[in-house]
Amino acid sequence: MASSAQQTHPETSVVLLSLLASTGLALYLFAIFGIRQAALFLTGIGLGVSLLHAAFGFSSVWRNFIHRRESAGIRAQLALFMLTSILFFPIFGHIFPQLSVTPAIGPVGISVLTGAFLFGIGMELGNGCGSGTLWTVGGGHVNMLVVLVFFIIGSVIGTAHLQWWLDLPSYGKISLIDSFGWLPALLLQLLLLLALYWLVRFLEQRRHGRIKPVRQARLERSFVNRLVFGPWPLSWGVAGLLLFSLLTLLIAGHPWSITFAYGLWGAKIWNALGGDIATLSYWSSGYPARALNSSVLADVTSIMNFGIILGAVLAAALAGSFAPAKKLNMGLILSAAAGGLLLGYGARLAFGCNIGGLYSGIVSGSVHGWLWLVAGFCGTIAGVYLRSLVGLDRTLVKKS
Amino acid sequence: MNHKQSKLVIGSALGLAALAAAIDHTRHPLPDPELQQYEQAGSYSEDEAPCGLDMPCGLGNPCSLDDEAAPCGLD
Repeated sequence: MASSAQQTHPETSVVLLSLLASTGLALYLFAIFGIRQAALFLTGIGLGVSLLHAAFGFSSVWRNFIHRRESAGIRAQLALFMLTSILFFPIFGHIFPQLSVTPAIGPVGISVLTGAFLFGIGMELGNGCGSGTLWTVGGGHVNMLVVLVFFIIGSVIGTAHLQWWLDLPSYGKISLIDSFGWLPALLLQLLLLLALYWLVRFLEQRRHGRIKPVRQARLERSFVNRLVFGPWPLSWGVAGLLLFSLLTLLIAGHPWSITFAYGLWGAKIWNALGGDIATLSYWSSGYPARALNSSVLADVTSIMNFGIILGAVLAAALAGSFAPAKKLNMGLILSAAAGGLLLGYGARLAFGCNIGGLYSGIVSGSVHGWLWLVAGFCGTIAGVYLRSLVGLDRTLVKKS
Repeated sequence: MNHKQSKLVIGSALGLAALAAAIDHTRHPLPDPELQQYEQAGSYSEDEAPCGLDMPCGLGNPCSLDDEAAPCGLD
């Protein structure tokens, strides 16, 4: 997570290249698809900058809590969930009828339970989550390229098996907002999130006798200097993600999502290599079929992901931390591959990753988001044990 | 792997990805301007575009293999 003030040495050439690429792609999207697609790409850049500058991750944050009861990262995540719920619930409750938005609601069943559990294990083996994989790749972490490649492969395999998983028992889609109305649902949700907030805070206090703050003390560097060059305190990360999540909802019409694009990229690559992915039921109808038969630049999730990667490249170059030196060995590569496969497969089964399934699910008032949280955290505990078993904690650099 | 090697690998990977996206983009027809007009005006009706590229799925949105469980693209 964000550290104290330090001298930064921006990589000017990388800054210029990323700015050039971002501007060029934004203008092209505007010319071909219109303002909406360009705005979503720029929103993705904002998310990428926020994620990298605040080092806002899930895998190391959850691991640190399990290992050492350090809860600042989890409290920042819970604060983000609470603040986003306060903004999103009234919108999904249609108090602004002119807004056309669709919540991220998934079925509450074995598929989500299994998928989130596998995803939790994958997060620890791969040392990254859905969003973390993107911003660490953008930050130039070579080992995360391996995770991303296998994340994509796992996503495609997940689409091939999804129907089988969906035939297993499920309670169907359950929306808290539809069940109770947006205000009672919001109060219930805030109560649950606050209870979790105080629980993790209590556990940290009991272990360490102190609480590490989410908001850091004033530092020597100016606000603007820190905003541009980073690192950000977690509270700034929460603010950035809140702002850009809201923009995503208002512009795209649905909450932030990431991993559909991975499956789509894999399916397109498979097709380009001569495979016939369209014979799979998942890719033969509805939105997936349309996305497969359109330009990748027409897919909202894909262009937002491109934005996140480019935003992270820009932020890392500004911070002078782009493409750090890495020690790679076969153990690290194998664990990254296994982690990536589990992340991709799990995310497909769970109706999303830590962003599309967990964050967007919960802030949409979907019970599947809460199931994701429980199953994903259990999977993370199993993943932390697996890391110890294979000696990963000695080789993996703490990141995301 | 030192800083320069990392930079080279990441730069090559991003360049390759950009090339792949460009190739994919050229293999598909450009969007229909009429459709774009509808989209920008936000005037899709359920019948016109029940599950467009931008509205993957959701409650009651028929973008699924079946009604009960929707393997939609919202993740």
